[in-house]
Amino acid sequence: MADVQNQMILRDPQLFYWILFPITFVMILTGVLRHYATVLMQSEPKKQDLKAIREQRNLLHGISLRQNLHQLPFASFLSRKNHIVAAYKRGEYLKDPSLVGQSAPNPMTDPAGMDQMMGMLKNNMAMIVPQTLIMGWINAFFSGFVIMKLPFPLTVRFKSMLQSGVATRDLDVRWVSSLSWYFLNLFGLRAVFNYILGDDNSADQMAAQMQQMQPVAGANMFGPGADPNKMFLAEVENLEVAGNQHEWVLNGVEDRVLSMY
Amino acid sequence: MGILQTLISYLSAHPQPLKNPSSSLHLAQHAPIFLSSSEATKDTQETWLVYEQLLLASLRSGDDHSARLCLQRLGDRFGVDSPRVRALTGLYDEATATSPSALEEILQRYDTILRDDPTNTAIEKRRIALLKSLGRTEEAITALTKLLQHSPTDAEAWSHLAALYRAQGLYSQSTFCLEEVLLIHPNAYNIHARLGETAYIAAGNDTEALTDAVRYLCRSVELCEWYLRGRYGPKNRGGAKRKGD
Amino acid sequence: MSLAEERELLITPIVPENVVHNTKILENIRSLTAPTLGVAAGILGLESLTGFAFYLAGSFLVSVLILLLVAGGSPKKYFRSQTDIWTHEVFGTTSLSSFVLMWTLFYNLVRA
Repeated sequence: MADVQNQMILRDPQLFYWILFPITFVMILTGVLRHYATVLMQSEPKKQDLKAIREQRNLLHGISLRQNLHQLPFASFLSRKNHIVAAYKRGEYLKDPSLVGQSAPNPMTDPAGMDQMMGMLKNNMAMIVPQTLIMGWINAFFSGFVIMKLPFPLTVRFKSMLQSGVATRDLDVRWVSSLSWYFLNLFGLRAVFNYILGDDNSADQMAAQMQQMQPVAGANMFGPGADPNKMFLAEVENLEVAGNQHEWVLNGVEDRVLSMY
Repeated sequence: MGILQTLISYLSAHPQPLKNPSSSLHLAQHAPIFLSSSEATKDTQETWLVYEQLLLASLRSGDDHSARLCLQRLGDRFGVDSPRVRALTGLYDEATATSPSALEEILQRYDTILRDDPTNTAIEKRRIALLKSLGRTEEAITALTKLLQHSPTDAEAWSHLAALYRAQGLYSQSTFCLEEVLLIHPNAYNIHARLGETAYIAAGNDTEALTDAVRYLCRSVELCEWYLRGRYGPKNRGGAKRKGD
Repeated sequence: MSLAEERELLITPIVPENVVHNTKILENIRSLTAPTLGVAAGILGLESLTGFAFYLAGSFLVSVLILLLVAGGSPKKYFRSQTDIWTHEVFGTTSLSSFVLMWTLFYNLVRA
């Protein structure tokens, strides 16, 4: 059994200059490039006609009434609620009243939906393509040897993944090939990107993946597949429910202010 | 530090320079230096924001020449037909108009633009401001209500309407508009103070309404301790309420 | 949210932009200190558990410094929950992975 105590492999220090630093350098550069490419590729926000704006904003108005209803005295809230509920039921703000009752527009055929999907597709491409390219490059040039030693131990199962090119049985898992350096960089460079590109940058692959998993509620409300009439009716129900718990925030405010002093 | 940097840092320290005559004068004084410097041609987002602010500040302090230059450069960069540039051109024309008939012409122009493109909110707002300065308040109110029908989430428009109603003496409508602003910005302590003041004016001697007024002012103090207007309110109104009791 | 909590929130509202701003500051500080800790760990030649313990101790020190210097000794004014300063982003992917990256790099460079 090989000596698992402390396997030392002597390596040429040139290894570092020719492998570690170039990989890191290339990854930083591609990240920056990806960020700017995404910024440049963003299409202009589509102009919407008046009726569409009206529909969206009136729905938002109803929603903000529901969210901030405690700021108004009960009588004002009630009158507003009745007015809005009646208007929504009548379908007053609908962009296209003839669409009521039909199913939601298919994202494939609806032009607005197409734009949104193209945008998402472009972003995904921008993420995946550089990753694949760099992995291919590393496998082509830097495979077949171990390059460095991880400071911490891992289980044996990682051996096949991290020592991709080297087929030995006894080599400690801590010795890894350059592909694992690539993976380390993938995760670790996020901090560097946050620093040089400012927050909210597009080079951050993991943040983008997390965003995809938790879709932002507001942005997709009016996207493809949303039936405005249904949303209005849902809002009507919400308003009815919310109206039962009204409590004016100004009740008792004088006592609170007096107790501040 | 280049002149562009100085201006940007000044603007970030004073985000609303037009509110204050001294800051707009300060900006306007820097305008000619900036315009003739080479940094003025840098094409970054901040440069153009600085241009817009300089345009407004120079108009405010009477420096029409610099304003004209700013406007020209903005037009060259973004095209004269961009909605924002059009609104700024309208603003410049209004400011430098020499007679009411010139203002009428500008109004006609706005109407044509809006007929072609009803979603141009910037022009709509300019038109309302022009109507207001021409003294045609009822038309301004009508135009504002029309704008609010398709954009009820525009807090600026609601507060403008509230001010117009107040000037006309229609206090209940004014309160309605201010409440709409509260729906959009529930923590706006200055709106609470405004509501308190409006409620006070509308109340006269009615104690119930006076209580409401005091409550609004208390809320604004609760939200923001150093807001002076909110503080001055309860002191005054509390006195009036006691007298009315 | 229960009714009492809702009332509490109504009366003393939480401004979302401020919360985001504060959290961002925390994250920025951590993204800068984590790689530095990694460099230190690598140069010192620390191995597995010792290295991670070093990271935890270092983050703890950073939290104390944040508490004293940045938050001015009263975290309640700036953060909703008291433990945010101590635990936010310490085990998050950004700082932990940059720590590991720098640690590995310098461990190999120095140790040869």
